[in-house]
Amino acid sequence: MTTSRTLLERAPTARIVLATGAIPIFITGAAAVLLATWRDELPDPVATHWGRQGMADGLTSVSGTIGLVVAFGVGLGLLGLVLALISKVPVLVRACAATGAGVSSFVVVLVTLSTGAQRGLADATEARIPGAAIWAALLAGALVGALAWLLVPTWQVAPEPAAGEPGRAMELAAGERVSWTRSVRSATPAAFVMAGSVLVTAGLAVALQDWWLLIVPAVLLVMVVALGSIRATVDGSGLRVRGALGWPRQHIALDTIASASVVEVRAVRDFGGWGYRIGVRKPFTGVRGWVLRSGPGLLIERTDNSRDIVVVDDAATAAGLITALLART
Amino acid sequence: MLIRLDPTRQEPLYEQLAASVRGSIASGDVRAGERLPGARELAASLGVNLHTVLRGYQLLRDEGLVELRRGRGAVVTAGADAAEASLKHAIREVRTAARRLGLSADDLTARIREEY
Repeated sequence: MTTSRTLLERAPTARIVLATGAIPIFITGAAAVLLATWRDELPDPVATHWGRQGMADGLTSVSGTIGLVVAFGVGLGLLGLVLALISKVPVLVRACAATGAGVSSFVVVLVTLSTGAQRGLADATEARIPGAAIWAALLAGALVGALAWLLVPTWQVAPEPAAGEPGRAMELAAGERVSWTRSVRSATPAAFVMAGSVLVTAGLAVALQDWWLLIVPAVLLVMVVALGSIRATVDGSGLRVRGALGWPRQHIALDTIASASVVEVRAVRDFGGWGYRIGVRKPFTGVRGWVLRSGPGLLIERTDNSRDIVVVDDAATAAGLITALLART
Repeated sequence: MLIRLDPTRQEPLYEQLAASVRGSIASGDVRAGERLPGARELAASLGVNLHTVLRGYQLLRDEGLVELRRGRGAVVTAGADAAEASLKHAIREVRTAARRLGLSADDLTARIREEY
């Protein structure tokens, strides 16, 4: 079995610095120059804080605004850089780089566009934040984040010692068709946390009478239902996981699997909570997967050295079946 | 729930499928009220015809172990008795073993009566 792409052997430090150091600094610099050239057309102070219905409710001098853009733009990018450099695990590094670069550009673009919209105004207190500026800033943040993600290639990490009991191969007859399937329900505390967050965000939206804020509890509610229970299935095609609504879904093809084992998972301690998570502690650092509760987990080691997990009852049978299927191919 | 189908065995695939589910109910692996995987999904997973799975599910329904509801799929009956399922499972196993030995139904009954 071979991986389809050749992986770098070491962390691509230069690429990481480019993604969440150089790019945010460049964007921030360009924004600062732009703001400086607008100085004559802008009211001073300019509106930099916005209240309900997008009305200006906080003012800052033009120089102060430029200073803020530079501080936040560079600071957020560098924060992402520091986090990326210390996280070591490819997927976490990429996530930190993308988040750092993305959030930095979002802030810079938002302030620049909302300030630019005030050109020609005599008094900044009459300013309103243009809705288009928010969307444009979100889009810019998402694009720069995606760019940073793509700029940082993944690389090979030395495989950590297997954390679990290797699955003992199940005995299979030649030509026998086997399917193992099991559904997992979210742990009770996880359900409480999710239900609580739906209520709190909905309550907040009602209290503030900002109805578009209801999007947040609505999205959370869909997540609660989708991740309320999942079904894991192991068969000749590999491992499949799907949510209660048929989404989210994941398929790990058998020919990308190197081995399967069983591990004991404590959701909060090992994965910092419930859901589709990335492990933060040894021996689960960088392990990605479905942690809806604590208990036995099916740990999949892939041929490219990445690892996936599904916490599910009877994971031992699933691991044994995968081991047997791998031996058969 | 583990479903194993061996096409080289004489027992039809749908019966093997029903036997696997029955075994899972008997062992407590699948509990009352639990929903079985969708027939289409399971057929794709096993690489068998959809009708094989449906026939297996219908057999289980006739035995009173699952309920088939439109749109909800197959749900393990609330009253599905693990002991009952376990007995049915054992009887099927015995029958398969007896057929392999070429015993007739009467021979088998006689043998069981001896042991009872």
